[in-house]
Amino acid sequence: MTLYFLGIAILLLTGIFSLCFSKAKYSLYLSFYGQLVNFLLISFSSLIFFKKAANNITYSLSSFLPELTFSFRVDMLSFLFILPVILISTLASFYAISYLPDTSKTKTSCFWFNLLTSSMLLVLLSSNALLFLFFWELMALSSFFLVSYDAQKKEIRMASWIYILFSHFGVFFIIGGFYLLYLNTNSFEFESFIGTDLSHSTSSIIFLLLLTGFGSKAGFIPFHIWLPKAHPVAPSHVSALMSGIMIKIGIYGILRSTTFCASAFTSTHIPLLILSIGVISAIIAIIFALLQNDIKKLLAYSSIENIGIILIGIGLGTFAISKKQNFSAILALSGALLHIFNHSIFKSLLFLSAGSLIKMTGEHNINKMGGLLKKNSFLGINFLIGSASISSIPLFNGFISEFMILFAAFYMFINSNDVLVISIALLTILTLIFVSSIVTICFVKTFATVFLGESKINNDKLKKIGATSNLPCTILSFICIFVGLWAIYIVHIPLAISFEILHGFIIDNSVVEKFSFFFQSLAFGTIIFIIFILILSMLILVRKFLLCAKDEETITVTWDCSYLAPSSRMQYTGSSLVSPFTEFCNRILGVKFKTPIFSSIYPKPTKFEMIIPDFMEKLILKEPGKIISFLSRFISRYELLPIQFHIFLMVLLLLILIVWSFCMI
Amino acid sequence: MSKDLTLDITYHLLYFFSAILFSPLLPGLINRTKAIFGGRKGKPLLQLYYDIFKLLKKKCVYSKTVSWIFRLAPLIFISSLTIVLFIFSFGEYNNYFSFNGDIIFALALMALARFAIVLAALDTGSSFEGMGVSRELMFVPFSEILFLLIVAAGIKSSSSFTVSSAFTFNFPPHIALLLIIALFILLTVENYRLPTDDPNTHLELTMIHEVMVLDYSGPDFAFILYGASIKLWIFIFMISSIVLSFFPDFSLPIIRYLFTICIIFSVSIVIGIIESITARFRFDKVRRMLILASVFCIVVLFILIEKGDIV
Repeated sequence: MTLYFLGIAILLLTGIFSLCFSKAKYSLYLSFYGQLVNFLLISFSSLIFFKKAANNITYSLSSFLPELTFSFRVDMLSFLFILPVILISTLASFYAISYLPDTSKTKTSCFWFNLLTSSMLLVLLSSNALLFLFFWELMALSSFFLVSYDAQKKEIRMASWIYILFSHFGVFFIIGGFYLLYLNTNSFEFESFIGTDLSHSTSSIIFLLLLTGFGSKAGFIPFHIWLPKAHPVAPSHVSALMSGIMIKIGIYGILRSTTFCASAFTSTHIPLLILSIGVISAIIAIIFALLQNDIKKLLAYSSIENIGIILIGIGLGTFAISKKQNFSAILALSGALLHIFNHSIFKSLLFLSAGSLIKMTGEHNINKMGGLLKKNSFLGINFLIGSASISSIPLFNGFISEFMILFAAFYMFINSNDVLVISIALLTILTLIFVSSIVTICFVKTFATVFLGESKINNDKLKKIGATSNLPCTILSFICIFVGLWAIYIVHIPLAISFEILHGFIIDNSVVEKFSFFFQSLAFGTIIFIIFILILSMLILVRKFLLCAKDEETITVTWDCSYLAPSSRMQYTGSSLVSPFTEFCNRILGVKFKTPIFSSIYPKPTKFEMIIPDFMEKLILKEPGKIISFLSRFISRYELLPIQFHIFLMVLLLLILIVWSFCMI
Repeated sequence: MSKDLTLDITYHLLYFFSAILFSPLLPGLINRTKAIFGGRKGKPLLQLYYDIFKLLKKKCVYSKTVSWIFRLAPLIFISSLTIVLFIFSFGEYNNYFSFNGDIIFALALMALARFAIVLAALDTGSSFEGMGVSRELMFVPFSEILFLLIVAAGIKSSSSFTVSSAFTFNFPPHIALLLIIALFILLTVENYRLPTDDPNTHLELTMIHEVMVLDYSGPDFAFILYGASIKLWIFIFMISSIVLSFFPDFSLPIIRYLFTICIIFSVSIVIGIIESITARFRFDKVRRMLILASVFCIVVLFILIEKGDIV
């Protein structure tokens, strides 16, 4: 535990000192070194954690305030989140060295970045509700300042306000949930929350409050509106950290609250709610992502989709518990846990590469890029690996976690006679397959329009990007492949964690034997991957052999059907690739087309525009906004009354309170 | 090694290698049937073999736009399809090569093959090929859901989570019929046969699959042609193993093997007949056809759940 605190202290100190330098370069370096030392310290202590095989480490210190004890605790669940936090933030701060410009804003950005990382770590460590809320708030605020990096621009300010609005909306519900737990246990300690016997209805209400609260951070539908607004405007390394890690802290909160409200999971209502939120988020978000042309907005929507998949895993797992399908429960939950880790890896990879792309081309719109694979092949390969992982292509990590959830769903589907269980399992399977096929289309579109074909940007307009910015992406790509190929060893960790989470629910140990099934299939799968690589390398040799006897390969133009003046703007763009889908989904999504109208005989240059409105935005943001502004206008009428009236109101309130307190006694 | 295991491995490899050898014969059979229906003499049966050998001897011509993805894609296409073929060359019951969840791997490897070929098509920067990709991708979510529903019906009736038992189960005739129709529709969509796509129209604006491989030449194109014929074999093999459930148990595995091969050839003749007598569908009709087939599978699932004798 000391090592954790030492690491966090170093992070904070380097953050504060990075404000003092005159040159922003130095503060970037200092912030990176702080992150690196923190990474080394915490990963070292994690090694000890695993060596000892201790279930948890606790540390607590009473304080001057009642109910607030500085109690910290590391267990398997928080460990799963700590690992990506330190990894991604170290890589992101390394990336920032070559990414951020040399201005004074950068110095403050370094400070907030280190503060964000340390507050995330402290959220994961703290095991007292009040302490948790304090660090939660710190996390929200520091990320707010990171998003509003370019606060001079109006849309960036607007986006960060929306972000902080949703964050506080969430905190409101979290406080409510924790307060109800306090009323039932008379303590704010997490450990006392776990053992309480709440009635089914109470714990359901508490869980719903916490789900709403943490959900607004995790960003599932309908609380997702801040994600596609905040991510495009934030600097890329910040979006990587926020999308890779910070929204997962919301999932961490949901997982923690499942242990507090165990009795809510005895019936199927809450699990089905989680599952349906997951299904809806995954399907709607991926369709939105498919239609986007702004690369970072696309990635933001795909984050919502992945949160949906994680929730599907959690929902299926908890549903399986309530139906006494223990094997599927553990497997689905560990699939969700592994997906949390995997998503944090490949989404950070994609966001960091997107940042390099934007820096290189100065464009957010993918339709204006093209042919960049030949310009920067390192970046292209990294982006391809990220796309393949997120599309759950085998050999990469995204496939493994989806395979686990699918396996659990199939197992339930086969081994049950209950119509509800069968239909829920089938729904899960179909959703996962549908979503992953659309993700594949979405990232084929993105990768192809950005990296393949002919370049649509003039060569001299392209900026060079530093070689150092490719290093973090390359490390993340290696992790993607490593987890994909060595899955059989890695899945033990999420399995152990989900065993621990579900400890209270699972009575019989016969479930352990069933895992030999699963590991057998995983072993076969790994053999398949190895055979695939062997066949592929053999075929490469065969192709070399077939081509070596002949003279040089002929280079011509692409088949152009004898058209004499092909231009790079004639290629299929991302929007035209998915236009059949746009037409298909148009009735649901309400995509608006601004088609040019040719009025005169000699038409002037004109433009076509496609607007994809998020229909949830109107429902969640605009309509309540109208009510609130109406109410505030109503209240503001009384602001203008004389001061005597205000004093009168205060005295009146005091009197009422005094009378009330007497009545209570 | 027990006798059972040896027998199983032998037959698995027998199915696998006969697919490797005979799969280019299937397009020849289809073409010959169509020719007979059209009153022509038609190409030789072994035309695809000649084509592949001729292409292997040639050299490649590349566009100046393409990158290494274009060169690597045919190899990924064919190697992932080979593994899917290995999963899908099961004999009768106790199959030692199949494992729980192999269907997910098969589906994912097919997705990998498609991923590679689609990226290669877009790598050329041609708007024709972009159009082909766009059309191809339009069917993907529907066809993957249909495939999964077919498999779900199979594994629910056999209550085992492997492809071999899902497809070699002795289905009752009405279920088998519905599944065969659904599989047939899936086959036409996945292999670009009529009425989804006409492999004979060589007009860029009307093709789907052919237009995606327009820029390939030489050995690369040979790999793609061969991979496509393997894919056709896989789908016909699925149909034939369901058709086998109409017949009583075979005493000897070798008879079952010969029978399977006969069914595979006759199914490709049936495809030829259907291609001769139907016209091509409009694109949005294909989507409706896929949804219709999915409804068939859901009906099958309803029947299975309603019967309640599943454990």
